[in-house]
Amino acid sequence: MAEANGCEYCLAAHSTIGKMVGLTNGDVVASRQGRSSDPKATAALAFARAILDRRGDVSDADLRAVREAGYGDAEIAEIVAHVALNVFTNYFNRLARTSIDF
Amino acid sequence: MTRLTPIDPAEATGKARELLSAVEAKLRFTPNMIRTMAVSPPVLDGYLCFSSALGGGALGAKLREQIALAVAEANGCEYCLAAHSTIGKMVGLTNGDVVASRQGRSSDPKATAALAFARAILDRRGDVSDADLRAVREAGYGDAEIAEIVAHVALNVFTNYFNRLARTSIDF
Repeated sequence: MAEANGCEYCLAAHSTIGKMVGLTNGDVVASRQGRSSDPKATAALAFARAILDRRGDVSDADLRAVREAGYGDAEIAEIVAHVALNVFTNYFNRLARTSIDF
Repeated sequence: MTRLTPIDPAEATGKARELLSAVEAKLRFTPNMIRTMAVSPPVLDGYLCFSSALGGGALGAKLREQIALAVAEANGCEYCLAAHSTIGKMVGLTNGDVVASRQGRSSDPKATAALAFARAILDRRGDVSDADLRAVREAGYGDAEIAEIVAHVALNVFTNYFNRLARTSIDF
């Protein structure tokens, strides 16, 4: 999300936090491009990008793909919420020009 | 045709039931968006907490609804436009205010400045221009209100995206 919205603060923060929770440097780089070594995670990232790019109005194909990857309604709702949470921080930090401390 | 199935409050259990009951107690009905968010209690909880927290902020109820209308118009969310038109009128907006808000305008110049700023935040993904910032400060908004406007844009992006994805049935 931070990559798509161009938020440097969020990229720095989530790269650090990502590694703290077990992402490798490779995972971090790939995530910024919406990819992962784990195909199920890749499906979630693709869906998150679709939500962002289409302002929620994802296509039938997008929805089919994320469900086929194994995500149900609750997880789909959570992915929307994560997109929104990150839009909040991305927009906030881009406006404020927050100094990076990660 | 909805793409996420709303939870019937009568059949909800656990945390979903608790959250839905609280909304029913407060509003005397449970909107379809709330019922649909209940498919994930953390999502519904997050939305309710965010919305409630901002309700205690410096921007008044009318301006909150005006911002919601402006953002819903920009994002093309029919459910949110219906809901915030109704809620907006409940808190004192006229029909004229509702129509104007959707276009980012108001009969009150200070509110117009906030709406223009909200639209700049949305259009530029937060990276507003120096001129945008100068204009909103000149209208009398300080740092706290500026932060609140960003938060309101984000809250409405959340509901706009959610309802567009879910194709929530309009019940306003």
